[in-house]
Amino acid sequence: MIGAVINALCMFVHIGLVNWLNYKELPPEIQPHLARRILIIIAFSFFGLFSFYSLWNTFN
Amino acid sequence: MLKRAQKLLPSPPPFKALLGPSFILLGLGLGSGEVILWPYLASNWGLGIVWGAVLGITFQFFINMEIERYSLARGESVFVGLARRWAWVPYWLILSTIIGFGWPGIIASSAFLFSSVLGGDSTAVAIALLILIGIILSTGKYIYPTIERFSQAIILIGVPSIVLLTLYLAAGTDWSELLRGIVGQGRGYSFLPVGIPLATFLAAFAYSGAGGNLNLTQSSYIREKGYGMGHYTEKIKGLFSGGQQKIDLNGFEFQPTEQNVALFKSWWKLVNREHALVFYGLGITTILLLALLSFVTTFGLEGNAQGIKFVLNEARVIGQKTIPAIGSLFAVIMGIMLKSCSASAYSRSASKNR
Repeated sequence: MIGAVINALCMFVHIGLVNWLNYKELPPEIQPHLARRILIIIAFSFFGLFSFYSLWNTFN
Repeated sequence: MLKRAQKLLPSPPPFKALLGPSFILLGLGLGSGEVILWPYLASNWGLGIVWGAVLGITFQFFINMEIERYSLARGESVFVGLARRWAWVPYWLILSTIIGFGWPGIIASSAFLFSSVLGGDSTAVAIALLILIGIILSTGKYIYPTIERFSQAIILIGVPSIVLLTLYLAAGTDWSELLRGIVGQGRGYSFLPVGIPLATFLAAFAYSGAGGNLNLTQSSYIREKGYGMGHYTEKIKGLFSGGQQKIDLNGFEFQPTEQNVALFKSWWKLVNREHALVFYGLGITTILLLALLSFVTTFGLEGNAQGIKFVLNEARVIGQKTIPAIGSLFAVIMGIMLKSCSASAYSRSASKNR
């Protein structure tokens, strides 16, 4: 099960990194619209909460 | 911002010529989440939990599309883009992938299935499987088309077999239970049943589709297929095809002129459609049907062991309800699906974070 927690943590990290990269690198004309941005933020928060919740449970 | 060579964005090909990259990611995705975790949950708590699979793969669709966006626009993988900006990222990716996927473990599970059906020592089978993966990755002229053909074959054989088997075994009431499960309605509960191990549920959720760092590989496939600005980049050869290969992994940029932005938007529409059809469409079908299949065969049975032994139980019941050979065939197909997951993961490590 530790594998699943690490994978969720990986996703939390890469969602953050890739979308920050797109935000910094790409011209505004080809950046995501609001709806996609909101969905990405929801997914990012979910994987963040899940990883930290599971890590907290693992070490308690 | 890095000064990259400026090029014009090429025009996209017709949709049919674009199909391909998402088969690989789906080949990756059909791993432990689809084969073991969701079926295990469905056999113990029924189909009321499958909304989690739908939501999980929906999240991944949008996550993957942002990864594709970068490669389309820059003609380089996100690995290269991230490493240029943050030097620690490659180390994090390598370390977390090795821990997160525990590859030998997946091979071992797959080997366990093969040897239970076909006989033989599961360690020997595991070693044979590893060698086979090595041969497949090394002998192709280019890594990408080899893996694409391999994943496509697995999906085009595996998914129809699962569909036929489910159509044969599931009754009308099972299908309506599946539909209710998609909107979170189970037997006597909404969304989450009492006593479900939350960690397993969340793990299954995170594994719906690809999961972990493997979503990032979609970006290399876009580059290798030459989509968008990837048109201008050199492709990675197989391990033993023609000595040392030095390639420039840096991408290109286009001016956001009206024409380029319009071309980008037509590329964007096409790759969205490709990913929606293959990764999302076939992925969601596989995940839901495997959960349904497990529900009609093993729901409420005693001794639903967690892990890979669960798949064997399921195969045994399928064998009893049809003919034993079909049960064995099911176990072999599940074994191949688990193995394809690790083969694609190895291909990723072979291309060293490119």
